Amino acid sequence: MTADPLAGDPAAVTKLSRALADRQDDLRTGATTVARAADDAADWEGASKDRFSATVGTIAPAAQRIIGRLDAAIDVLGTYADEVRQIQDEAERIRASQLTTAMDSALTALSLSTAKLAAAAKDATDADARQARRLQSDADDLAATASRLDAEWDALVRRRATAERAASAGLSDTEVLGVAPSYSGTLGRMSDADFLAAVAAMPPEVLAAQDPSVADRLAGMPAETVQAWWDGLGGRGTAGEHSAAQDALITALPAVIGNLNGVPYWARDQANRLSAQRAYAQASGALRDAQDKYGKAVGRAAQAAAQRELISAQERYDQLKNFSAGARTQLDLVDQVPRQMITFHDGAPPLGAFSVGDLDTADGVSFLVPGMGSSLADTTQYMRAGANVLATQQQVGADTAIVSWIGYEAPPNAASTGNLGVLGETYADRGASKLASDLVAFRAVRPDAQLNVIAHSYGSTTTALTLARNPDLGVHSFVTLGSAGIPSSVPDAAATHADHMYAAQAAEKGDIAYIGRKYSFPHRLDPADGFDGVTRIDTTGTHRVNIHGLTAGQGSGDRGYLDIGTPTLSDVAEVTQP
Amino acid sequence: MRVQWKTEIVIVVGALVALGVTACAGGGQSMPTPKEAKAAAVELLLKTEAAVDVPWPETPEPSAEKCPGGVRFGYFVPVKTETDARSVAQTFQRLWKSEGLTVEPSQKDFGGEGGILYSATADADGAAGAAYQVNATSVVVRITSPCASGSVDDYDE
Repeated sequence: MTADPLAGDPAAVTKLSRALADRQDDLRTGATTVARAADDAADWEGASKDRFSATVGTIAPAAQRIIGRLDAAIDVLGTYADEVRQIQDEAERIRASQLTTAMDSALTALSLSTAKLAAAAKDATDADARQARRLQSDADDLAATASRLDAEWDALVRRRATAERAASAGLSDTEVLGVAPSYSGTLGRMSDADFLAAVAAMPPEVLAAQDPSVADRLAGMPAETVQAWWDGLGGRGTAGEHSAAQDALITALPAVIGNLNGVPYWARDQANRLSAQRAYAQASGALRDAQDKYGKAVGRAAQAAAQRELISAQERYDQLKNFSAGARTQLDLVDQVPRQMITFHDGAPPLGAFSVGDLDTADGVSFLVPGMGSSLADTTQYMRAGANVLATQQQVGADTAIVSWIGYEAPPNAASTGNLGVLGETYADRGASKLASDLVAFRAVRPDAQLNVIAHSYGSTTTALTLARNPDLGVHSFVTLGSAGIPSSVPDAAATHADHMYAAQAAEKGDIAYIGRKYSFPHRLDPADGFDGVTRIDTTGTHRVNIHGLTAGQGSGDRGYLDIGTPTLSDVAEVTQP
Repeated sequence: MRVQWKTEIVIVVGALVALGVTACAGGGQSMPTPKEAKAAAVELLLKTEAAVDVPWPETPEPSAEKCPGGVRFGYFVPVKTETDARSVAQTFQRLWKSEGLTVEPSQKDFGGEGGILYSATADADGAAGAAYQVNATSVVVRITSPCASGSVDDYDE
């Protein structure tokens, strides 16, 4: 590679250096603001304050580390700009001298040629001979000058190359990057134990900058390994009290930690809230862009394409908005309990699960698995239905939690889309592996807790496959509400491996569950009708359930399976309490 | 066989679409405004609270829920208190029946410290609805307003 001594714009390098200095100022201001907020919260007490203080405590050191690295980068860029400026000045001097020398050499060569002819003529004088010798001497001097200037140019080329290597090395140095460029490769060659120790030792901004393979390797670790590793970073921890290393991992790798089996649910919650917040912000921006694009689309084809994009953006926005709202939506509880965003996968569609109650400590945990047409856009609706179960259990003194598990792509609503996927098993089959993963993960960290599954509609199809394929989950009660049918591969309650199986089937308006079973292919069984080993939950009588949904609300004249004040709710609460 | 399958698919889609249409219908009656609907619910809540002497909390902010063609408001009032659950349940039933509601009571024995949980729902066409769940250590009342004009999206879900 040849370095051109005249190339480049040192003024631009200086400008970049100044911009980095401005960033330093911003960082200092931000760190000061955070420190001031910490001072302002001096009177604040309790677990949330502890958690806040722990987080704030990590910000100033992280900011200082980045400021230090920017310092190093500014030094390198400043040195490089000065050097390039000097080289360019020198290069211009040499180029000017070379030009002058070349012109003088040409003129001298012409004069010398004339003088030599004159000195060789018959009538030549001594003066002619002296003139020719003088011009020859000048030509020799000019040739020497040209040669010296060429050598100086070559030296300048080498100097410029050295300056560029120095800048490149300086900007790649650990003082600037905080990590050796080969670090990801080094991690890849480590044993699991060394890898986990190295990851835990990284500052958050360094960890966040690592190659995706680091996150992938973490995500693939067995839950038991992750649990031991996490606990070694300062104990199991709580939302209010945990180590700086644990906090760094949540901050740097939220998408990994939020779904990492073996990590406590309080940490997954904090990580997933970060991920969901970012996804929601991104979806809001995408919706604005799609609206703008639709407004500007010209022509039928372009409008149709823009409309499809807008519908898709609106759908994703609605899903992420409602999932985020799960953190604050009003729930009918006797005692307010923590809420935990226990999984979040920002895919298409986005999927996730929200717990009402503390999954790290509750004596009993029920997963509520929804059916046809469900998506994250329905998160708060399922949380409210689940909260009715929880409130009833709170009334009788039970310490429980209920998870609205919207962790699989449910079949679309057949009525509104015409999609008949609900009649098949494909969606249940795919969903079963996801549900199994989350139930296995729960069991890994909470072997002592009672585990139940309450499955609505097509959720019972998905759950039946899950439980049949995973005999070691230790499920206490499997409850189906308005089941869309149990696959024939799960012929009786014993095949689900649950200690108890219960089924509620109402005479629903529109016979939704009945239609789902009747036209299913392959044919599915009604768990509430002749399914061996099932205890039927009564939905008849004066207070009969009469709709397919979980809640209808008083005043509507209708009853859902989990409406407050109904015997069906009492029955479900009873069979899913420790 | 194939023809029969296709025919049944058409029937299924027809039935489901018809259901979807039915579910969206019913908006023909004039609806109360949200303010009127809330007032009706709060009136029933205050009468309910006056009927039973327990330390009721302040009237809470209502939750907003979807209802056919509009929005309704739910007032959930839990009280932790030692009480004669059976007597409280009967008092609620008498009151709500006198208000013209159809009351559907039930009870379930949870055993242990939970004891017997007395429950009921109560409805009347176009009026505020109600529900209770009462045991020896707690009283829970939920009053729901009639369906009002508007959208649940107006209440920051």
